[in-house]
Parts: sequence; C-alpha cells; structure tokens
Amino acid sequence: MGDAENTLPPSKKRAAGREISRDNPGLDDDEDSSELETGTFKKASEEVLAGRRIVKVRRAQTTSTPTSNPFAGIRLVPSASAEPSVKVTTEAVASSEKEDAEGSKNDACKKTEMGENENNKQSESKVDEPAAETVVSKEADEDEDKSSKQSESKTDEAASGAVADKQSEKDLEKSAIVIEAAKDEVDSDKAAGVDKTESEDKKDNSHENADSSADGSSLNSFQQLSSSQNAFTGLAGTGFSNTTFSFGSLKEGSALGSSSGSLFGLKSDQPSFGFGLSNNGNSSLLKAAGASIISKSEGAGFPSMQEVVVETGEENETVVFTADSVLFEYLDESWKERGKGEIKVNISTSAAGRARLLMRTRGNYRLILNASLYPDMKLTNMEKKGITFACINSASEVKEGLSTFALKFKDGSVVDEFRAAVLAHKDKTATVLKTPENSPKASDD
Amino acid sequence: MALPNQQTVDYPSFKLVIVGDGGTGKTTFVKRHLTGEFEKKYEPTIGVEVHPLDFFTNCGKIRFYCWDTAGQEKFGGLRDGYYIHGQCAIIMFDVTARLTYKNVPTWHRDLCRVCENIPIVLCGNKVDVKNRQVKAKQVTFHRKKNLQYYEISAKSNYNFEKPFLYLARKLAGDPNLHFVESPALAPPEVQIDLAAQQQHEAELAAAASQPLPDDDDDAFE
Repeated sequence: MGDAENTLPPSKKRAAGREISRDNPGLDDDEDSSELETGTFKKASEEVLAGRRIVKVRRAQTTSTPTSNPFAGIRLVPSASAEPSVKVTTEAVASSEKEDAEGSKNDACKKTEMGENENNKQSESKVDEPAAETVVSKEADEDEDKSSKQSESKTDEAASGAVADKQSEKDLEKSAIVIEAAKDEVDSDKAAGVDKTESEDKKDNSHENADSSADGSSLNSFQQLSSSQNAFTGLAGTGFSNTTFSFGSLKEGSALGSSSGSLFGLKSDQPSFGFGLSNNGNSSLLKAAGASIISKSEGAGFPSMQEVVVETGEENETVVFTADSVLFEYLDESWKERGKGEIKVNISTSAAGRARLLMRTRGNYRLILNASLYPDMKLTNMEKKGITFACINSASEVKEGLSTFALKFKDGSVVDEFRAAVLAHKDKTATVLKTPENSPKASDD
Repeated sequence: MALPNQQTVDYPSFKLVIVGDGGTGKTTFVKRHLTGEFEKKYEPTIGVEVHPLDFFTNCGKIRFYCWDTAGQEKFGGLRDGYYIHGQCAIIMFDVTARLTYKNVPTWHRDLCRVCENIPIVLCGNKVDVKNRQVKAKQVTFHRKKNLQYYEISAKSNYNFEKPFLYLARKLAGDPNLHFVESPALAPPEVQIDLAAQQQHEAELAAAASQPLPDDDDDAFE
C-alpha cells in the first residue's frame, strides 16, 4: 500500500490515512476518527481514486489467501439456498452491521490503547474502503440499491421498536445465507468482488446508522450492535478481508456488551458488567455525539432495571415522635457527626411494646440510627439543644455493644418532647424484656 | 469497577471516578456520604481511595465504587490510570477558588480521553461560603460539554445527593428513578445488662460534658 500512496500527489486525506495506519497506530484523536467514519469518504477526488484502485487489488489478494481455510471449517452449518444477488446483499447488510460494531470496538481499543495491531489493520482497511467503493460503485449499483434498501428497512424496523429477538432471528438466517454464499464462491476473484461490494455497503450503512442515531434511535443502533454478534459469528471464519483478526476480538467485545446488558437484570457479577458498560458507551459515541442520544443509549445498556417493591421495615410500626435533628456519635473522645435528618421514635404494632429509635439522612435516605429502647435507658440533656444517650445501633456495623450518641434539635422544646416520647415507651419495652432477662433464649421473638 | 480483591455484590454496581483540583472537597464529599462526618481537616489524598457507596432506589439497590482520586499533582499516582473502565464521573471544583474552576476543562479532557461518553456531573462545592469567587452564572463549562451541573455543599449537605441521583438515573436509563428509604429491620433484641451500662457510664458522662460541635447551626434552615 505504501508504494501506491507515495506515488500519489500529496493530499490531506491521504496523509491522514498514512498516519493512522503506520506511523501513528495509537492515534487517539477520537474526533478525527469519527469524522473518517462518516464524512471523509464522500469527498474522494478522482485523482485520489485513481491511485486507490491499486490499493484495492492488494486487498483482494489478502482476501483470497485466507478464504479457503475458514470455508472448510464452516461447512457444518446448515445451508440455505438463495440467489447470488440476494446473497451479496444480505451479506453486505450483515457485514455492515459488523462494521458498526467493529468500528466501536476499534474506538474502544484506541482509548485503552490496547490491540494496536488490530488498529493498524483496521485503519488500513478503512483507507481501503473508499477505493473499493468507487471502483465497484458502477458494477455494484444493483447490489447497492438492494442493500441500501434492505438496510434502510432494517433501521426502520428497529426504530419502530422491533424487538431484539426479531432481529437476531433475522440475523441468524442471514448468517446462514452468508456462509452458504461463501461456500459457493470459492473462486477468489468472486470473493474479492463480494468483498468490494461489501465494503461499499459498509459505507452506505454506516451513513445510515449515523443518520438514524441522530434521529435519536440509538436504542436501535445498540440492538444492531448486539445482534451483529450473530451476523458476525457467521462471518468470522469466512476470512473476508484482512480484518479477520479484529473480527475475533469484536466478537468478544460485542458478546460482552450484550451479555452485560442482560446480566444486569439478572444481577451480574461485577467485573464483566463493567466491561460491558464501557463498550456500550463507546459504541454510542461512534454513532453520534449528543446529550439526548447519550442518555438514550445508556438507557439501552440497562433495559432491565425495573421498579421494585420498596420496604422501609417500618410497615408494622407507628411513629410516636418525629423531628428534624442532627445525630452525633461519641468516638475517640470527640463527637462525630453521623448525619442530618428525621429522628423517629417508632412503636411496633405487632410485637407489643417494642420501641425503637430510627433515623435516616435527608437526601440519600441512608439509615444511620436503628436502636431499640431499653428500660434503663438514660437520657442526659446537653448544651445547645442536645441530648445524649447510649444504645446499640444496628445501623452501624463498625461497633458492637453500647455506643454513645447525641441528638441536636432545633430548640429546647423539641428536646423535651423527644425525652418524653422515649421515656414513655422505654418502659413498655421493659415488660417484654423482663421475662427474657431471666431466660435470654426467649428473646428471639 | 471493583478492585480485584474487592467483594462483588449481586446488585448493579458502577465505577465512579471523582476528579478535581486538590482541596475542592472530593474526599470530604465522599466521607460525608459514607459516615455522615464532615471532615474539616485537609489531608491530601495520595493516589486514589476507593469506597463502595450504596443507595436504595425504587429500582433496587445500586452501588457506586467511588474512586476518590488525588487532586494534587504531586500525589497524582497513576492519574489517568485510575479512570480506566470508569462508568460515570464527578468533576469537582471549589466555588471559592477560581483556579479550580479554570482547571475543570483539563480534568474533563483527561477523563474523556479514557472514558468516552460516560455520564459526568460537574459539582461546584462549598456554596455555603458567603463570598464566592465563582458565581453560579459564571459556570458555563457544563453547557458546552453536556454535563450536569450542581451547586453543592458538603458542609451543609446542600444538594449532596444530587450528583449520585443524576448518575444513577443515567446509568439505569430511568429518569424517574429516585432514592428511597433504606430498609430498617427491627434491631436484634440484645440484653443490655446493668454491668454493661455501668461500664458505659464513664463514657456517657465524658460525652455529656463535651459540647456538641456548633458549626451545624444552619442545619435546620
């Protein structure tokens, strides 16, 4: 490829292409690369195209080498019959999906600066694509039309809320056909031809995807990404083009992405989930940048977070006192704040006589105090509208046994009300506790 | 994301990266959520400290692994290395120090280089302070980058749960998600015998004689 490029009159685009593929494999400027995806290919001037023709030939050769191997491996898959033109089309669609995923993967790789080889190859192939596009554009007019139609209908479907099931089903079918097509076309020239149209359609579709996601249907693009796993699985072994290597890793990436999506609902274990998310995020960036889209695609990543029944644990209790307060804990000979919120004195309606102190912080509703009243509980008034007492706080796991707490109220009258409420109910607890005091085992109810 | 030796949980958890200049209140903010404490003493964070922080929502429990990173350059540690696989982020600045706001774009750029397209909240901390250097009107960076901006105060707890709420909503894809009261099971009935109480008397007395901190007088406004 290098030779071909060097003979060309220098133009900005060519220079950029060179940089990505060779000198600067880890080029991390995401804006540039995303522009490459969408805008740049259109503008190829004729003289540049003339040069790219050579590039195309080179690519065809690479294609032909690995072609034979994978076919043999794939024979096992049940074949479906289809017209040649249809084959090409479906394949194109499938591969264009793959392109999406691949692109996102590529991006992700860049970000983490991993898989540099892969990047190299991919950026190479990116440079190649425009060439293939123009060369084949005339021959492949038919195919292009069909494929674009199909991909269009596909996006429509997804946009109109097609379920992922439907699509993956479709993809399965397609991948079967693709494999079939690959089998038929052992002829390397033919395969090369297919490859060209394929890349052409890749282009097409990536534009469309950009459009559709700009419409805000990034859910759809996410589905395409995850469903492309299927299409891709079919293609993985067929050895099309020099990006086979990255297909493999793409598979991994998209598998992670989709599995994490579903795992989320099923309560995934942590690490795999993390990977999935970052992948999703990257893919959505590829499509288009924008707040609304971002949020939507994020949503698409976690579809299964559903409303659950909320229990406070206070269902069988009545609140006999409540007031705004600040809770402090006495630790290491100084007062540490534990939070601001509502302190409540609750008495149980089911287990007669049980009473407890309960407090959650305002805003995040974190439980900071959960302690039973007990008969000998002493309350001591403090300066600055405070009151202190000892209790066993089961809301904190740090310390077992008695801890010293203090509450600060708005004014002195509230302190008195609190004291009255506690004193009124701590003794009720006594009647229950008196029995277990003698026989501790009975305290379990 | 969890550290390798960190326990995993069976509910959704996310790696949250907290960045911003030194002294803007990142650690204090996290600590406020963790323990309720308001730490006045400034001890610069070295490298990073990771704290799990759980929230109960109407969609179940979620956890943020808060990666509280060093703000000071000399204690930066791995820096961008901490951002890897970050799933959401908070960029903190101090409304009483203009420079910390000026550095926000740098933090944002570094963050986005590693974590593309994650939900990010910009937080202007210390809004309880009377004479601010960065007025609310002057904060415009979030508009350019599509970030969410909150004025917060780790001291007064003003808006202190909002950043987490916003991120939880984004991550769950549910704009109606909200925090709910964490469940309070009936505390186990433990006998508090007189001996234990008497042992505790001394502490109780010492505690009672020590005045409560009075820097929270605005708590009831």
